[in-house]
Amino acid sequence: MEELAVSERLAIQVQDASVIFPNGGNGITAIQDISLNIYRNEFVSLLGPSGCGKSTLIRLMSDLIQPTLGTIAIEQNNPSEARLLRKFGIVFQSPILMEWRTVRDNIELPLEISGILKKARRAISDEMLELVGLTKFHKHYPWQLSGGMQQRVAIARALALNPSILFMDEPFSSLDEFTKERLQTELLRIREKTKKTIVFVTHSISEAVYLSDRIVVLSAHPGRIHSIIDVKLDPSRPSIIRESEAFYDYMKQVRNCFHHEVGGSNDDE
Amino acid sequence: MTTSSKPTFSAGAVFGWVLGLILLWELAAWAMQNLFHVNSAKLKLPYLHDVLYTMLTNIPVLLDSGTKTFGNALTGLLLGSLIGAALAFAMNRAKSLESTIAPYLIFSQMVPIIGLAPIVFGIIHDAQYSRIIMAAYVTFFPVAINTLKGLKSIRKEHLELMFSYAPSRWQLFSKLQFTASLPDLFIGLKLAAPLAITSAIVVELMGAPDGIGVIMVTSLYYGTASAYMFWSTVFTSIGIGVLLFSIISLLERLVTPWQPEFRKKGG
Repeated sequence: MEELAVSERLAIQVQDASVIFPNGGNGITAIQDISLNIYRNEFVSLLGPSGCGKSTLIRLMSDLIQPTLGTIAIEQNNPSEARLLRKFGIVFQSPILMEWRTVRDNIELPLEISGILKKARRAISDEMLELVGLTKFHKHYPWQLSGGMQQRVAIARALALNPSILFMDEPFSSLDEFTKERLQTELLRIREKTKKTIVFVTHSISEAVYLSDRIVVLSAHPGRIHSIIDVKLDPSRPSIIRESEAFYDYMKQVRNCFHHEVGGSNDDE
Repeated sequence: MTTSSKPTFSAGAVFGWVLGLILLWELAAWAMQNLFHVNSAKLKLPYLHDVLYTMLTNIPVLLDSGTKTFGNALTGLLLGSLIGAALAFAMNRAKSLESTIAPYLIFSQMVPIIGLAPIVFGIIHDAQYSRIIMAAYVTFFPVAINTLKGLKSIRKEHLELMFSYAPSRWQLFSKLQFTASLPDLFIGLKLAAPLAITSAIVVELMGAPDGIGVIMVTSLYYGTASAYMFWSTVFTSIGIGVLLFSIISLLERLVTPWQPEFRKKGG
């Protein structure tokens, strides 16, 4: 790892990216001049209040929108090529499972589209089911599962094609607090096992601190990078760490970023 | 957990409802004849038991004619729904196509069936094809409109998810769009089913060689005995309409079992 050149270690490189949405005569600047490097195996959170462009930024990386200015490189490809090369999987805010497919068939959807044969699909979905702890539920339909379980299916589906990068756009924000914490721990375990690079959008400070190696704090109108915070907590992140002094210090540090902003009229969480 | 928006019927309620209707009918027929002394009351509203007796004695004829009508309406319904679904997918794919076709679609539904049927019959000169065409004609519109609505209500995130997998046009269609629009396609089919039967009968009224509409129109011109027959054909028409509707409902349940009202409770 230490021998690799910087470009080799880079998973995602955003350079001077701006996105301006057309709005009648004058456009709305969603994000402005954002430059950001994300390295392999890193867990990076994009954190900020509504309107800071964190979703826009992850949508740029995942080829769902195009930059007005600037460039994005995903493992040295542009996002569109990276998508075709299946370099990344996406987990959205809602699980968006296909109601007519069982858990297993939902996980196998991207495999089917990639033309992977049934036997191989089965082996992969078995492995994914086990990874997210849903082996017993493989025959269930989405409506028979809780919200947290549905989101596990979505994670398994995003990982099925074994991409090197996982984009997660507020994946836990509609779950209750207990489920959310359990899934956060789960996610770190999955990350440990699969060694993915993860970009994670959230508006929850504690979630960002608990999960991330680095937190990219964004400020709004227009969306810009306010600061980047390295989180140097115990990498194994035992649950108890949430009550530690260091954890609170990081939360305070993040919160302070917002207090220096536009008169402190921010509603975090 | 979720309350179904569809009405549910209990067997007891249906029985009571039918019994009430029978009694009301018999009472009204009796009143017309014996209380109000309406001219040729038996022609206008015969006793229900007389009608049912006529139906029983004419089962072979009614069954034979009903089958003809039903078969043609069903063929037309299938043809019309294929055309309707194809139009919906085409319109969903190209906005320009939608704005071009939509006015014609709406215009087509302004033409009264009773006016169009003799025109079609006059041109084709084949009772069977005319019935199929008319049934297809009334079917394609509700199917097209509802399927298009279904396609348009597919969530943006679902399309984005598929986009991220870089599917072929066919994969996008078969793995998302087609299946997702099925529930709405069935709504269109259920709307179209009674129309398909009616329009097949309308063609038969114009002078087809067979079908329930033929007996209906001939029995209109003769005395009391044929009044019973006329009512028998009306009942038969209702019967095949209900049959067609039930077949579609059953098919819907089999093909789209994931719809909230069909879901089995528990695991």
